[in-house]
Amino acid sequence: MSFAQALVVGGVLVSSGTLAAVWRRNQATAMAAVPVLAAGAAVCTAGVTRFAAGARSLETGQELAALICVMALATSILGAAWMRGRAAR
Amino acid sequence: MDLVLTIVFYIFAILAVVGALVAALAPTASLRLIGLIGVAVGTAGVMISLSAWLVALIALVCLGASAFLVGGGREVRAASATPSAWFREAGFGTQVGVVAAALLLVLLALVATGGSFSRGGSGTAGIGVASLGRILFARDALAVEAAGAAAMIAMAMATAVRGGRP
Repeated sequence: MSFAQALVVGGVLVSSGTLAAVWRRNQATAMAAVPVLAAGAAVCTAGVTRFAAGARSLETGQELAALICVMALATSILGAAWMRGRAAR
Repeated sequence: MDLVLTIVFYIFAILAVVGALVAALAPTASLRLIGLIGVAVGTAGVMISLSAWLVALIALVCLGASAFLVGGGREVRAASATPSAWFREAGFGTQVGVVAAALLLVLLALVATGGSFSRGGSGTAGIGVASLGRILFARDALAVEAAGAAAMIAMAMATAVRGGRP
């Protein structure tokens, strides 16, 4: 297992998230792209920490990964509430 | 132990990637939800194999909750026989987006496997993209986070303004 493999997995997830965003026709179902994109970015940043050599702050990548996951949840909450508000109008 | 972690990495990576593709292409809400749950579980497993136990728990909770929030919803789609037929019927913007997603996959794979970033080199160009990336993600991580949050807020506000128009 190497950094390149973690980057490939993260890249495939980001590309799949992009595909989900453009493939879906209505905005509510296009929101499915948010957790997929966040997962790809989180895997990449966690991989940086796992395979970093000589870094001064070893937890930075894990910190970024956790923040990306929380941001994805916040965006999903906002998007879901927004879509339900639009549907109720 | 390293072999076990490698096997765990591959199993959960496959689960996450298959879940992401199912979430992107599935025609029904239930399949989409299953795909997103697969992404959450797979990402948590990959985090465990990368020795990030706490992040794995956070990813499982946050991405799982996101899956339940955005996994539902009915797809308003024309009754095309196959995905390829739907692609031909899609608008120009969607077709360009799908091609751009494929190009993004190729570009990221090239960077991950063929570039100097994963090997730890400083790059051959004068700018030194790889070392710049390491500085952004390591030394100045907080500044990058602040810039990303500002960009996200700006995009959300722009979308809100655009969505408010009749």
